[in-house]
Amino acid sequence: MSRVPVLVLGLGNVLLGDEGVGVHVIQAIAADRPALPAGTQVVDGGTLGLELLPVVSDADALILVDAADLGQQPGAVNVVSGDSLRARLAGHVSPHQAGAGDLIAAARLMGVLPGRMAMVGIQPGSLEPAVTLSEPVEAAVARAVGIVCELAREMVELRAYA
Amino acid sequence: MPRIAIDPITRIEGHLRIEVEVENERVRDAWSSGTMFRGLELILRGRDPREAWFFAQRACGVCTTVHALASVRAVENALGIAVPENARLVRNIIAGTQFIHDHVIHFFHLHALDWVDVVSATKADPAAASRLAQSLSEWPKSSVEYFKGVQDRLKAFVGSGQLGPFANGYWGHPAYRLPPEGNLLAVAHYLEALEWQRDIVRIHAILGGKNPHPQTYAVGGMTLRMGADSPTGLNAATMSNIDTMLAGARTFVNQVLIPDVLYVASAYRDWFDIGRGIGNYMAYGDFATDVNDESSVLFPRGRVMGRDLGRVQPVDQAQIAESIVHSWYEYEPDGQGAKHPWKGETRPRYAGPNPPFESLEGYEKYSWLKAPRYDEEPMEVGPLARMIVGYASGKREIREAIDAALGKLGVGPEKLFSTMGRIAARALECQVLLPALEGWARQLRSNLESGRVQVADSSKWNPDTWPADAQGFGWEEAPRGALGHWVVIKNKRIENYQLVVPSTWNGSPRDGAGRRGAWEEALIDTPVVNADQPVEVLRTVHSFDPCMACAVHVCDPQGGQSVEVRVL
Repeated sequence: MSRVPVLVLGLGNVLLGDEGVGVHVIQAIAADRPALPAGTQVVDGGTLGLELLPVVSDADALILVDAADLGQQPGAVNVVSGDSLRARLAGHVSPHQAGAGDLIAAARLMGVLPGRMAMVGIQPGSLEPAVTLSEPVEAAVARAVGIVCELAREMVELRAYA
Repeated sequence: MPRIAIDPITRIEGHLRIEVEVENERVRDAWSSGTMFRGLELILRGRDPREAWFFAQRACGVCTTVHALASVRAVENALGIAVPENARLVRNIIAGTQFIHDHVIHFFHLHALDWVDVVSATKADPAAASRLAQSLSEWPKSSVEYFKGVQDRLKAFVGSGQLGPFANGYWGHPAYRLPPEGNLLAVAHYLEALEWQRDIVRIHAILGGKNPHPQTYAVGGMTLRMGADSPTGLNAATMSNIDTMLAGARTFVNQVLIPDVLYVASAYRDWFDIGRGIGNYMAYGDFATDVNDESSVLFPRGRVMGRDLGRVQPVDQAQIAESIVHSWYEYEPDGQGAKHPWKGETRPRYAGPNPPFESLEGYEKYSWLKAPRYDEEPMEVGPLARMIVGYASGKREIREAIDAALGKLGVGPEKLFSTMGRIAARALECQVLLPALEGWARQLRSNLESGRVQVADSSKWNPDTWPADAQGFGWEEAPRGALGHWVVIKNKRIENYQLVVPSTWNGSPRDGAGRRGAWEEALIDTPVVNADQPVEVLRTVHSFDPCMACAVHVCDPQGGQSVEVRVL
């Protein structure tokens, strides 16, 4: 199995409105094909947990895209990394955090956790049952895609220096 | 009287919460509550029935494939479509693989830590652990050096302070009974199972197309390519991969899972008398062994009532109805009657306390789960129900597996009705399934080689071929139990859609007659030695595989003190 330089993993439940924004970002990337570093893998992780271990363990760098309640206006986009990301994955910020937390913990335990990791968190508005996003969160998708692309490039450059 | 609230958090079917009252170190009463509304039924209304599965598979984070299958079966049933042999084989292999994956993960990663003290494993003697392992199984990873290596890794992990999945366990609790060497053995297999599960899910990538959500289901069959020389989909090379992975799974189940479950069971024999539950078991039946004969199922359909193994009663979908007397919904006309899923309504009306709250005590309605009943009786579904119905039906493979395991433990089949019985049943059905899975793979390969490659019947794909009105149901045995989707189609669109999932049967609140659901009933009389660390309650709840992490809130009503402990 060849290594993946950057994995972009969208998480969320697409049946609960803005909860699924991480998956919507993945769909936008798949549709618009923005410039991403060669070999970048883009995966719709839905609400899966340990089932995602095979994809995560093949990656050198990981960008999680997820709805995250950071107490801001709906649609706010944040990059969380380092200690702050580790703390967030230990607690639970989004309704399916248990899945992502289990996944990251298991990857670390097995020694296959990607060396570089960041999360693009989008503040949700509505979590009511729906397959569409609320207006401010829909508007945030394009911004989130831009940030994902920037992060992916940074991660590959960092790897080149490492 | 200490009242304990267990507020499990799950990303899957919604949040689930258990409240128990403890008296004289025993659970006296219990309430199960789903604290998150699931609105899939509302999302599906008005849609094209052919695309229902695509939404339904997002209903559950662990069981994406099982909802896809129940959904296409419901629509096929409504439209009178019989899928071709290859589609049945592929569906059996996808579903069966899901069973093996989920059951192994459940035992080692979601449940074992209720029985295994991880911290104690750091004190084990690797030589004694090696002798123990070799006395239990032929599994080759059993040397002194191997256990020494695992122990060093564990010590480093514990020493790092970042316990990850082992954080906040009740380590050192007197209810843990394995010797340090037994704990080290289980930790080693916890790690091996993580490694192993990465491989087994690759079968889904082959048969389901895009990983990780299967994309190859369709009303009428499957959409994957099938041809001996086909560059993608099912070809000679991918069939070989599937064979290799199934063979590996069989070895892992027989040499690691089964011996470990029997070892844990023999150390915790009293748990064959705890968590007995309602005593009514129901299986819809699944996995036709002769794909052209639906009655040739590996897991038979039936009900065993009142723990009477001498009689298997039939299952008729018309007898299923859901009550909402204790659930946060409205029904026409007055909310009192139970409704069959074709007539089912999903009209949420929350009538509980404002979160966050300490307790649901005093609230007549206390759950987002409805209360499904069969002919007004509550039922337990899941691996234990399947194995009990299979045993009582005289299914050879199931009787052999159960008799051999119980023989080794020196107990009779009446001990199956328990918390430990649920754990044993889950492992034993893996043992029963694997040879069948290998058989379906052989059959598929033989069809491939002889050019019989039809995987879908598209004769009723065009909605113009459909009747104006139709209704159907799709039954399936999912890893967690009997799963049903019911669909009503009007003018080519979904008029009504209802899911009755295993966790709704097992996690059901009381019904109109006040009868408890399966988890509620199974918790009665469970011992609780230390109300601050109710590991015994978790053992029984987890034995049903509710698929969740739990946050445990222990409340003392006198002092108003609240301790919060998070348990994985």
